[in-house]
Amino acid sequence: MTLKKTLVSAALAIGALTGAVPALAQNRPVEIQMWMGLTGQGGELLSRFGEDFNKSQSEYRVVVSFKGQYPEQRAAAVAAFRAGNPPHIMQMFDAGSGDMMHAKGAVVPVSEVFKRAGLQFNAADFIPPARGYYGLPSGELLSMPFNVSTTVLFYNKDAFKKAGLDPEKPPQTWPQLIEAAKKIRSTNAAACGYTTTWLSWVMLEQFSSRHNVAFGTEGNGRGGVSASLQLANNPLLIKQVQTLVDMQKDKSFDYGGRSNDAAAKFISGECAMLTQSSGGLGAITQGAKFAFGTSGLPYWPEVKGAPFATTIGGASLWVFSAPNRTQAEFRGVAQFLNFLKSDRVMTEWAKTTGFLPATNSAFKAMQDEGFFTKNPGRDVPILSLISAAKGDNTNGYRFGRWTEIRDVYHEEVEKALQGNQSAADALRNAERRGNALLRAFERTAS
Amino acid sequence: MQRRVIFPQQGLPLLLLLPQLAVTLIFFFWPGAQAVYMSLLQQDAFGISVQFVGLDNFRAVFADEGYVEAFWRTMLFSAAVTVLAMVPALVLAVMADRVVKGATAYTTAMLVPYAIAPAVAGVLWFFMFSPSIGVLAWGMKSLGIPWNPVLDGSDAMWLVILASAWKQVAYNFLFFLAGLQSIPKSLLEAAAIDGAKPMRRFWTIIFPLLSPTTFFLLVVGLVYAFFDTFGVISAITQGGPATATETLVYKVYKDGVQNLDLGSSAAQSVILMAIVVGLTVLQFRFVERRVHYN
Amino acid sequence: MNTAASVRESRGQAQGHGAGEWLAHLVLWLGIAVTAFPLYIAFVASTLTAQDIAQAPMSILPGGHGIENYRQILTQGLQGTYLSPPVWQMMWNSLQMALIITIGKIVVSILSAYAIVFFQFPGRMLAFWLIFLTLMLPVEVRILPTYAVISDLGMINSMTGLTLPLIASATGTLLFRQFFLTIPDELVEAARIDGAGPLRFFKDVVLPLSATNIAALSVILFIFGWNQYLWPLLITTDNRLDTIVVGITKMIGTDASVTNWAHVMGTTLLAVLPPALVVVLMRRWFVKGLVDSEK
Repeated sequence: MTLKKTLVSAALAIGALTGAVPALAQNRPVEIQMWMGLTGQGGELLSRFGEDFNKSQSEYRVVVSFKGQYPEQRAAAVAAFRAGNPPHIMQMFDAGSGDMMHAKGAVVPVSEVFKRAGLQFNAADFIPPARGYYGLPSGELLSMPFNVSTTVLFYNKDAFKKAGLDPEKPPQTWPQLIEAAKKIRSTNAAACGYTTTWLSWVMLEQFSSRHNVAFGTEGNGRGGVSASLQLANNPLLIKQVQTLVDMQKDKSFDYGGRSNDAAAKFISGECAMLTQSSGGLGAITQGAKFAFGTSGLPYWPEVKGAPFATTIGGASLWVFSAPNRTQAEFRGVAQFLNFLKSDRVMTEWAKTTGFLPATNSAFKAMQDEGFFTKNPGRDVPILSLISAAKGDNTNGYRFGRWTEIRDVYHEEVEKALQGNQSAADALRNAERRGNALLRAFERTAS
Repeated sequence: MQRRVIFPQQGLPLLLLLPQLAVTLIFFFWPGAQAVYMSLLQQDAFGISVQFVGLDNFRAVFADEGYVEAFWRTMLFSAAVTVLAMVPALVLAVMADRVVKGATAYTTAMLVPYAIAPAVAGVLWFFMFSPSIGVLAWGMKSLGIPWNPVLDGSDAMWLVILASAWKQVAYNFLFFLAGLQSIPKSLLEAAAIDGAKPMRRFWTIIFPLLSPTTFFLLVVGLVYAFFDTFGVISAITQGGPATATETLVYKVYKDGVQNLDLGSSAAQSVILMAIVVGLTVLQFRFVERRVHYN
Repeated sequence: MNTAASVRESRGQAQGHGAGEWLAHLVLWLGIAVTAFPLYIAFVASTLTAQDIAQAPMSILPGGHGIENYRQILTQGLQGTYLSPPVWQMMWNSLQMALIITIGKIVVSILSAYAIVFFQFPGRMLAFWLIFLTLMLPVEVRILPTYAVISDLGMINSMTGLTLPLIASATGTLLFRQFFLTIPDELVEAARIDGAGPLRFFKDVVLPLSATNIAALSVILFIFGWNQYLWPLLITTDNRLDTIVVGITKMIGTDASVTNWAHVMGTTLLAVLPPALVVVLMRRWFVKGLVDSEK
């Protein structure tokens, strides 16, 4: 009897306690951790959005932290996940999408998050390239596109004038760009004609999309983990690497590093042309002491149907799952994501940074208010994404271990630029090493 | 090595050792053992799908031409950094030992790089030598010297070697100077009276008496070149261009933290640990025999 | 050179005359120039604007923006208010971390070194090698499992989690061991004859003798703790716990914006200042501690 009484009172007590705990918890806002990888203007604005959301309601409190560049941030997220405590939301860059998409059990698709919270979520709200990139065949979105960018060409109008080129007519094709670069070198209007940031992103991923050329099997990996790279027997890719190698010899092209460092060469006036993410606009506006213009990523005119659409870059927001995540926390995540995709936030985001409006309604709102007519050149990136011709190979790619494979590409092309191997060998080695990584990924992803 | 005269207690020393052993076991050996275990697994980044693969990761590492290259590159790099950090330090210490006026001021000024974090030293040197904004890079350009660590592998290697050595000279200088100052002057005078010339005095008296210091600095210098230079490489070149500055420890980081290939990275860590343990054991066995303790 | 001249020369060197002296000064000045140059450049950069630096090459003479730069980074942090805490706060984090690691490691390692050197017990050499092995694997290569351990213990985002794993390695133990091996046997015998036990001996003889070594080690450990990089980056999610070295590295090579080098260089100098001061002020004990340990 005594034992039963003890058990009953214990059960009652526990019941009371667990009933009481949520009541207590409701007095303190539920904390939502979001990690981002943006710095500069973009990072500041995103943090401010977090603060705005917190001020607008009292149930949830979003903490936006900068955890380092995307690689360090991703490593920290992985470590945190393995320790059972990942952030609620993480901003993951495009190249990491493949790894995230195959991490079943680690992430909750964003469509699902909204559904569980009882909020409306329509994938069709987002611009088609973003939908295609981050979506599943079922129409569900795995992650929420946020800072969307694509490749554009920035050019130094003052240097153009000095070289005798028309500052209002930027090069549209690669032959035109080569000619302009050589002219700039011969007149010494700048120390270098052209450089690029994000070598693999521009020269492999975006370049291929621009010409509707596949660089991998199964729809560039979108069909499944058994896909492979196709770089070696790809005459267009070889031609592009060879072009860079040739141009490097007289500094009509000067290599500036694998990621963002080459932007400094453009801003300082050293190089007269730069292919860069449209999100790099802010830094250029702040730092450049010359007039500059924007144009689309150049193409080779002999490719039939070119120029095709470019693909999206930038990052999207992923929601982690964890054993101790509560319903309240997931609701908070949905609310914040809903806030971020609102027209008000999206338009402010796109207008201030060089990133694109990720939702159709935001884009339309900006058009309606005449933003693009007042700011010529600002529509270049989004037109390059939406209006240019579509093809089978303009939907992006989905490969695991892509950051590693990008580095393999970087290493091999760098060897070619140094004159230590041919362009064809560079791509052949990159394909071989990349496929080895893909097969290893396949083993862990199944 | 063991002293001749010791205390007899048995329990007390174990008690004294307890804090260090506890911290070491929980935060070093336990994670270390897990790292070793991870080297036998193949898993995805998030630890969701885990497979035991035995020594496959090790086989893959040794078969990787990039790894073998990184190995020789690390040997070259460590030798260069150690030599470049010790020889100037010794020269400067000898000079500082000779001057009477201002020895304190010189020593103080020379010591500052020691206080700088390797990553910060990397940032400082990167800032001076960056082809786009660096003052010294611009100077070299105007002198017609081709300088492009972004594309040229040996330029990049020189940059990280110099930044790493620059930082370490201060440390070696301090220890050498202390060692030199502890050599009794009477010893040197006696040798001079016996007719020994300065160079002879250096090699027969000073250098041997400096041997405990040199040995200590060699051990520390090796660990520094193998591991602490990670910050320098991470700040300046990130292992590039085209893996020209990818040392073993940087590769462990790149494969583990950046590329999230945990099995391979763990295997590499185990190999790295074995190498350094082996080298240190060798040093202790063979070199310490020749060291003159008093 | 004949004997007399040799003696004169060696005496002359001891007294600071002779050709050797001015050559020594010259070499030393060269050494200082190489040492100081990068810091000078950093100082100049911190007194210019970011645009001045971006429009390479920057001037090698200081500009006039120093005060506003330093005020900005100290009170508002790098890149605006949301991304990094003000530099003074990062410096405070670094200070706490450095002090905790210094004191923790010294206490732990002096006791261990004493146990290993002055006693003979089963497992002595094993304990020595176990501890010594920790020199071989810095935190960079055991980072993920250590993170898991810290997380299990609930120490993420805490000063304890920041410092405890870094106390695990054996730098101090090695140094004290080397020093303890050189303490003359006569001292130990004298103590035993007087009937003093090991703890008395430690307190009355070893500790005072070790004072300069402890001072020297404090300098080394303070700098080690202050300069930690990868571990603090991973272990803290709250920006407010950033140390200053982490803060600097986060701001270089950024994603789509160009680094504000004027601010970064200013922060770099501020990051170097406290450890440099520690080295400079403690130099006497630092050197003395090492000199004594050689005897």
